[in-house]
Amino acid sequence: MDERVRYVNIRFICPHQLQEKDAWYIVSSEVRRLFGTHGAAEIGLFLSYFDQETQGGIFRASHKYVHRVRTSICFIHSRHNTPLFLFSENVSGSLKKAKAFLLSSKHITRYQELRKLLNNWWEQHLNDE
Amino acid sequence: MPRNFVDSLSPRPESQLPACLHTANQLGFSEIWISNPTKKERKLITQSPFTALIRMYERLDIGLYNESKGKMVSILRQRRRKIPIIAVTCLIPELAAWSAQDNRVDILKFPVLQTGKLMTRSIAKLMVKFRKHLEIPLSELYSLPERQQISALRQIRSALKIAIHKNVPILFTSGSSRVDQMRSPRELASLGQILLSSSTLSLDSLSTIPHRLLKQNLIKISLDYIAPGVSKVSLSSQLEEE
Repeated sequence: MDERVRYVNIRFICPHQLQEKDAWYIVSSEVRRLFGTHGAAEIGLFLSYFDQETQGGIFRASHKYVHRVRTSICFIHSRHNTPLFLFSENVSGSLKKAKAFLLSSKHITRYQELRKLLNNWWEQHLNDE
Repeated sequence: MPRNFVDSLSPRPESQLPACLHTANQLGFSEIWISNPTKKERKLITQSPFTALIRMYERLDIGLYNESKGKMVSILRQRRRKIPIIAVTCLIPELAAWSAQDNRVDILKFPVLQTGKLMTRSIAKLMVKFRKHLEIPLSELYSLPERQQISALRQIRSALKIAIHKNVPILFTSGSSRVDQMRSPRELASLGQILLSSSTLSLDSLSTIPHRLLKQNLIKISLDYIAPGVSKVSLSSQLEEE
């Protein structure tokens, strides 16, 4: 059976803004840590699009291994001692649809609410520590 | 039909509960089990604006770390038929076997790094016989330091292998106590898929199986329940049927 691709939308919540290369490094290094170079090659991970304003990335992966990308997200907590929270929003078969989903106002509102909530929590928590 | 996902949380300190519920709602959970809620938390639950969006239920979590079996029995006697879900964390095989045979207990949990050792075939047999569920709190796995994750993954996989072989129902929960430990249901299901090697079973462990357990237990704690298969029927409903 031919290998098909899927586009996974991933949002990044961090106290500061992330760049495209940071987003790629965070996800790809975790995928490689969990599944090794061979596993990462099977997934065929590639950052297709990154919107810096809404901190959302569209990652291309093989349709058979989307669950590996999502599993890797579970294990990401921080980067350089800065707290980090990632969540996947949607899986789509076309980049156009994935972009429309990423930039839809409904999902941007959800992302903003979660970011506000987590930033407040981190402020309190980090101050306590 | 869209799945209704269930998660179990134990927010500590209690002031974290509103933030946890808000996050759970945003991440896509439709039902939350709150472990050992305090009086303040119960008040927060009733006042919460999320009561309309998420169904919330109490669950009793008994940790058998320093407590004797007698203490556990007294807790169970006090709280049974008041709380729909009762879970026990077992550290010793004897207590795991005892909990697996107790009809008041619904869920058995093991410390992540000892799951494989404690979840033996004999415990699994007892769990099937007495209809117990095995719970895997995934936040304990992904929050572990890197060097311990390998052995934890191995332990969980061996426990799940036995559970699947013996047909023990499995529950995946995040079991998180902090907002930043929470993960969306699809991510938890993906981690479950890695552990179980089955996507349907993993999704069921987060949605259908916990729903079924709760439904059964809500009937059990209702005032009309007398014994399995026997319940009170009001005269008006009987007349309506006739």
